[in-house]
Amino acid sequence: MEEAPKLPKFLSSNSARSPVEKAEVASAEESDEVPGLSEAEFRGIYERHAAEILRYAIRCVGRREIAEEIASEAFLKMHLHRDRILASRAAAWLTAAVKNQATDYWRRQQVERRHLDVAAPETAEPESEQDWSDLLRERALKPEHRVCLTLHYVHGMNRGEISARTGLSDNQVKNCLQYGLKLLRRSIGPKDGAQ
Amino acid sequence: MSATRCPEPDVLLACGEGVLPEALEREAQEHLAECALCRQLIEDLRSPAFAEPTLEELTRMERTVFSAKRKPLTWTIVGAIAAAVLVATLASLWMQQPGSAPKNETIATALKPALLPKQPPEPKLRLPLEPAPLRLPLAAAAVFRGRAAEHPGLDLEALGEALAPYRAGDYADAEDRLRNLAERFPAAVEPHFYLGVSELFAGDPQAATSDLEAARRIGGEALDDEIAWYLAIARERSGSWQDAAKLLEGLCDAEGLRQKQACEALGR
Repeated sequence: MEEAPKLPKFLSSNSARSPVEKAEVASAEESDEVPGLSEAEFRGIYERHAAEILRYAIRCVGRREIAEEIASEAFLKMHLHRDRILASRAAAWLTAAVKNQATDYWRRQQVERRHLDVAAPETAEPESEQDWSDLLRERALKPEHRVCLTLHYVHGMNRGEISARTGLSDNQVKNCLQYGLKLLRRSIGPKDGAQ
Repeated sequence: MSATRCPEPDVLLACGEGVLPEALEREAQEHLAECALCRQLIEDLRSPAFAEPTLEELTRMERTVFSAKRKPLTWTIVGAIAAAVLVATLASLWMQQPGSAPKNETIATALKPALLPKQPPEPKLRLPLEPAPLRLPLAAAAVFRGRAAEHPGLDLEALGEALAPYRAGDYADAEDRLRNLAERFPAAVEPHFYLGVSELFAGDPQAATSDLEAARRIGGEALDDEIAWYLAIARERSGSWQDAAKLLEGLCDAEGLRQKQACEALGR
């Protein structure tokens, strides 16, 4: 009796599959569509999903330059494996690839943090967040002002670090901080804008 | 108030996405449940103002993905596609019955869609915002020579004073002074223009759009390109990329100080 051809390892067990592999298997099982992307299809997929995938990567890791690397890597991987990807499942494939890499990133971060915690144990108590919470309810503040003020005064980030998280330029961060403080002063202090 | 130290914003942002290690996710969730400040921060970071990739990021990513190592392959394929399109077009023209072809159909028009430059990516771009250089009206020279009375249209000394904080990068102060000046001299372009730019720096693109529109209506030859450039930034930051693109196209098509930047923003 003829034996069924053996499946590649990643197709043989559902439990050990990564999200990307699961997306591939699911797509192969659920559809009659023939896998494989042409260069033009790849380009089209890139144009349709680049912003969305980068946005998702930013949410997953916070640091925009890391997010950019992860999103680029997902598209490069897709290009590498384009012969076994269904066009209809491309977005799911890319999302799964980003999620995978973000999970790895956080795993590595956790190991690094553990080492850092040992090297520099936390001693200082955080400043009260209540005052800031109340202050930042000021209605005139826009998200840009609130984010810059919180990252600077609560999380102790400098302008460069804020810029790396928000995508704002150094100059914009400076002005958001300046203007945000001015709005806060207006709301709590004398109307003449005294310091 | 939260009893624990606020987790890093990156951790908070990733919370709920299923990518954090279990313990970190649990800690962050517990913290978020009791810290209004962090909940607000996450809400803000997830708002379109921050969640959307910038033009620079998208351009860099495109360059990485379609990088030099794949260029030969890409060009081979592009060449092959172009050749195939050309052959197919010639063949279809040759096979058509005489008189049945549209009168104005030529190889050039048939190929036009394939040869058209790629449209710029539509949404969520962030044009670079740098301070507008100071350009004062010619009448300013008269003021400096002590002949201000000859130019009653605008109080240039007051404009100079209002622009001092602008020059120093204190846009909040500049905004107050320029608004006052714009109200006093509604027909003068400079107060509206520099007020619009200051509002952009202060993170208020809607107000900036309104003042830059006013500056545009008044017009001022020396400032026209600058007004269009900053109006494009204000439009784009207000979520009207299509309007911003129209302004950029105008700048890109005409020779001017902002031509290069506008063309780059459009991906040309």
